[in-house]
Amino acid sequence: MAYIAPKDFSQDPELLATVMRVMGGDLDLSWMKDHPHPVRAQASQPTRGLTLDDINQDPAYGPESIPEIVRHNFSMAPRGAVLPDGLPSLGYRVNRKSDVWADHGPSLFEESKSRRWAPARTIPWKELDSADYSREEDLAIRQIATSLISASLVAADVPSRWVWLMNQEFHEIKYLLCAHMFDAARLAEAFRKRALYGHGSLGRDSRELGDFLKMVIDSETFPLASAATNLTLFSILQGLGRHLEFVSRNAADTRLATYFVQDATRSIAYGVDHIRSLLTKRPNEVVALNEHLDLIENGLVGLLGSRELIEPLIVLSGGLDAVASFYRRTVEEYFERCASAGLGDRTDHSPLPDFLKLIEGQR
Amino acid sequence: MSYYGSTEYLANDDFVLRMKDIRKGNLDLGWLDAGTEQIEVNAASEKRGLTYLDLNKGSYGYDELPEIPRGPRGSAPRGAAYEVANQADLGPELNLKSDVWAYKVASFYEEAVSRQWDATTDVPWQDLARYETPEEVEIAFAQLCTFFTEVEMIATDLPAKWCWRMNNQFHEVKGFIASQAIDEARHAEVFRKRALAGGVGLMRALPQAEHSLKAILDSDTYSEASAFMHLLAEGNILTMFRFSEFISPTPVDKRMFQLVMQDEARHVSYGMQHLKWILDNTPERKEQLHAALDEAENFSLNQFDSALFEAMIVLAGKGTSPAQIKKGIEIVGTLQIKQIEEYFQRLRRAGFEDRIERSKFRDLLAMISLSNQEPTLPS
Amino acid sequence: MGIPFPSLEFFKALQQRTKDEAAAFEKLGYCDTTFGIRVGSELYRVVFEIYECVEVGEGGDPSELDFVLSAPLDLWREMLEAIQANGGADAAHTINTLTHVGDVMKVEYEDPEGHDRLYRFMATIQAFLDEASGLDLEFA
Ligand SMILES: [Fe+2]
Ligand SMILES: [Fe+2]
Repeated sequence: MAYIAPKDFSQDPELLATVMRVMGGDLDLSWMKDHPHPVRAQASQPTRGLTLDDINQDPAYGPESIPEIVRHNFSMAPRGAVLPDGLPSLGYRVNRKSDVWADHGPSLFEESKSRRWAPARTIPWKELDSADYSREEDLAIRQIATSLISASLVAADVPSRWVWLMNQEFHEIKYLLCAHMFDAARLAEAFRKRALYGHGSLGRDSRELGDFLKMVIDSETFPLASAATNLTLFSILQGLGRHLEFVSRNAADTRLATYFVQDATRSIAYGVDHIRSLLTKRPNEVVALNEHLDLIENGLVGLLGSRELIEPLIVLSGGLDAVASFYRRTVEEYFERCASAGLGDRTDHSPLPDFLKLIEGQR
Repeated sequence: MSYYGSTEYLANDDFVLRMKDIRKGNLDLGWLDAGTEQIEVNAASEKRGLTYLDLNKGSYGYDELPEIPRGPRGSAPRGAAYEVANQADLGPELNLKSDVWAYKVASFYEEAVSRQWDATTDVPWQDLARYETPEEVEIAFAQLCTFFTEVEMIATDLPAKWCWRMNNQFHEVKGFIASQAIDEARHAEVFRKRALAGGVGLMRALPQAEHSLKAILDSDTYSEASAFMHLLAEGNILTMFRFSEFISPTPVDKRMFQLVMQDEARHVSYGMQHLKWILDNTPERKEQLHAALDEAENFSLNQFDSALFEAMIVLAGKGTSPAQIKKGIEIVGTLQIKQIEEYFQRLRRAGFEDRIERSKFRDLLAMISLSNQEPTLPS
Repeated sequence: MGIPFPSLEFFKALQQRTKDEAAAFEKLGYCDTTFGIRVGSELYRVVFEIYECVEVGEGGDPSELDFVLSAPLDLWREMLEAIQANGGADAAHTINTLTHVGDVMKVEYEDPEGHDRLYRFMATIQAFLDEASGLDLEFA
């Protein structure tokens, strides 16, 4: 047993005395004076509701009160509360603000709640009954959906792996990562339903996809994991979502892809803002991040070239050229995001441009 | 620590040849013939939509999932074709169904997805200003909200700690605890917002309660953590939410507690059904759970932090006059007895009634000494 | 007399629909973006705040917009006619489809983050344009 209480409290006279005193009506009430930062936060825009940004206006509670290195609190006490002696350490290992912070984090969390959906009902599944896909196209969609279940499950695992290690001072980012966990679990659900609806079946696991996802989740630090997940993985997922919407010929697939793209893009938005603020604070980190992405992108090359992904895409798109053009677009947009996050021009050291040339027949 | 894969693709002849071949239009199309089962799936109820329950069929279903799913360790979803030797091993640590499973977990997940709400807009914050609350009551309420803000996050951190360690075969459970993580983040959010919108702000963190949280997070296994957190701690919190709704100073607060309560009840139900699943399927784990709950109950006893209980007394009595305090103590005493009774009821429903005999809470009931009689054990 | 397209009047009519259909737009969630719609050489500005369209305008500086959806009049016309025929865009005429492979409609942007707002709020932006199904339109 990892954590054992210092006493058997059922036999503790001190605890007994406290219970007897309080329940006997002799209240101490000293805690009533412990409110050093009175505040009456209000919604700045009533239709938007009371947002995290609204309650962060007071400097005693807002994120500007978080030091770059958190040394004062390793407990679950919320930021801005009075911290009495005796608070335990919960063992947090991510205690540096720039390792996690993004100024857009609080509003992205608000956005994710606000733009919630439920695959059971939001997707008009019955529309698939009259979808005019050929047998090959039908199986191609189910194969891609199979891969997207895997990708979504791992996309839920990445925030899960880190959020419990993060200091509570960063609670907005923790909330957001919980939203990412849930968003990803919901995508896994939606694609499982898509793969199995009607006369359904799952496809084949992809060795390359599994390897790529393992690289992403095994990233050594949270910033590396964030770059690999939110920038690399979700850029590709967003592109796939756009492409599925593009090739869709019915309302169910169109709507599913649209929600997929929205959810994926929120992760990207956090990734760009997070890496940008990290690099503003600690520009030297650019080297480690770029080296990591060089290797992660090798995994992405494997995924993009895997038979379980590229072949069904070709079937659905009417040939390789449309797929190659969508791959190029997606990679270019991904590089733009990397540059915008402060990673510079990744074109020269990434394996992706050579891969694109390969499938475009230029290599 | 990082893993960078087994292949450098552009330097790999097979890969480059494959791409050139595809470029020429030669597709393998092996995936068209994945060899997986074909099933027929429709929504049982159009109104409810297409749920995980509708997908519970054949090799894809959870009913057919064995206690020991041998082979899958990678990212392949349940029912997909995969090769044991060819999968990237994600190193899952929870691989037995009874490690994580609960009766009705697919329904709990669907319910969670459909009953999401938003603390920003679903609580009528602008109405708070319309109600006049005595200052000492608002202060006590702020102390209670500080406590809730503090403890809610354990129920995001604990699911998160274990979610990524669960085998992908258990996606319904992973989904459910991911939904719990967002539920609890929203709970921490709503209580923080309430404390900061009421004029008082955050108050005192509570060290005694936090040692319990640490014990939950540090539990040796997921199931021990679940028994402690879902069943015992969240059961207590659920009773406290009901109490808090009852003594809420404003209708705004009542609304807030109604919303958090429905989530909390779902989490407690999962905990009860997970415990029941373990006891039904792997009764040999019973002694281990007893030992974990012995210590969990011990930590819980120490949660009698005077600041928290005094705040609850002030709230229940609606003030600090001697008559109000007397009334507050009566109500809080009833709450404590209720918490224990409900915990015992849940143990009984999970098939763990012999726990009741062994429980340290019997001592607490004696300590409160408000009730001369034995707690009414549910029949 | 129908509403001319393109015209400020057209975008004002769509803006009004986001108020009339407030419940539907609220269900889609927050949407905070200022984007452009370019029909031929004419640029219109659309501002969304919280759930609804709060402002539409003519002209402006594209660099201050998150993104601009740009296409010749004929394509907009084809899209709007499809929206009118189907009570909302059919699968071939959604904004994403038109702006994806082939780029029959262009997405112009300077800031990748602004660009990504198109995808973050895609369901709302599509619903906004789909509101044209109830309008009586006259094309220039
Ligand atoms: Fe909770
Ligand atoms: Fe809970």
